[in-house]
Amino acid sequence: MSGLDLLKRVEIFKGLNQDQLNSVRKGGQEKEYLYGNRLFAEGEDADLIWLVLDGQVDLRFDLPGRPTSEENTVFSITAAQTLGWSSFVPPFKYALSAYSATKSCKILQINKDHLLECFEKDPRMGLIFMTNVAAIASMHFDQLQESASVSPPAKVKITVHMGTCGIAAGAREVMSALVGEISRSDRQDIEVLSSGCIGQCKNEPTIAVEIAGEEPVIYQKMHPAKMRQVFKKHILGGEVQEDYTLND
Amino acid sequence: MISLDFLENVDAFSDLDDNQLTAVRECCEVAEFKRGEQIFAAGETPEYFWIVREGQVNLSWDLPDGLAMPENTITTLSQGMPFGWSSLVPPYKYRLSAHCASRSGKVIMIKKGRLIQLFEDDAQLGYKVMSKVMIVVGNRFHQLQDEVARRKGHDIINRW
Repeated sequence: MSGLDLLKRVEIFKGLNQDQLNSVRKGGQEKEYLYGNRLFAEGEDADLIWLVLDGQVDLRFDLPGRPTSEENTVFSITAAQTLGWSSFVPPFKYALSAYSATKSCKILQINKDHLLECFEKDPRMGLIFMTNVAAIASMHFDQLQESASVSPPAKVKITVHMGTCGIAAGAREVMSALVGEISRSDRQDIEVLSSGCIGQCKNEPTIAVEIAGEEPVIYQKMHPAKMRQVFKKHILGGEVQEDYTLND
Repeated sequence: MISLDFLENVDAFSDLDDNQLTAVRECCEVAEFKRGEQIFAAGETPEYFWIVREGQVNLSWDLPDGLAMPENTITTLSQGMPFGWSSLVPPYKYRLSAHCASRSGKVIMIKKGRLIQLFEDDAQLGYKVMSKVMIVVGNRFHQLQDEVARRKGHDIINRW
């Protein structure tokens, strides 16, 4: 596929004629990035529009002192999509960092000043471009708002202690009951882990329930019926089942 | 009569020359509202692009009974401030409701169809106005994106 054929497919250039696409193409430079390479960093001057030719780019927020990770991704951009709208919005700084998220990622960089020169010469081209970008930003706004509103509000971690002593006391059956309850609850924000003996062999099976923002609770001498009760009353209902907790 | 000086101070039109401002002025109508009266409702298909002429306008989340509650107000607009950008950007639906927030208020209404026709007749005018619209939409998007990143970052840092 020629460069122009691809440009025709790109959402922000939709409606431009052949001559206009040609002038866009003249300001472009192709580059390739490998997995994990950073294309630009949050806070840098935004002076380029980035068109993904092949592969995927993740837009992520960076956390101080931590390496980048897929869980920091706010948006993923794939072939024929663009990033770098910040070039047209004051203060003209990239709002997020961009990383190559595929083994190889091919990009066409288009200089913002080159585009602005094109628009000065041909305002109709500028009108079409700005209308397209505003429409896409508006659509992404709706998508982001929707995804943000369905994000789970809390995280729960449940650890079943499955050392030899725990298994002998029935930890597998407890785990099975727990997984069944989670499945029926349709909750997406619960993580189940297993761990070894915690030195409470006489009180096994034990489980630890950690809900973000609350003190962890350890339950002792669990069995499937108690597990189901703890799940319904504590995990879903927020009421710690004091009678079953381990108090040293 | 709306003056060119007034229109020139409206952010959306600040880059237009006098001929272009005159063309915009010819599309303007003025309407009056009283405190609490609804100018438009969220979800409606926009017919007009608006500018506050006198008084104040509240943009707010819609309530099922249509009442404007102060706690649902997102922003209060005063003289010279435009609103109803959704009339120029797909999917062409108002996202917020607008109510008159002062004892009496005057708003300038510009029919969406006439404004788009102006863009067709004078692409430079259209380019200048849509560049301003892009800034508004882009800022709104960045604010939401920042909020999503802040929440996700908070979750990651405080998870365990």
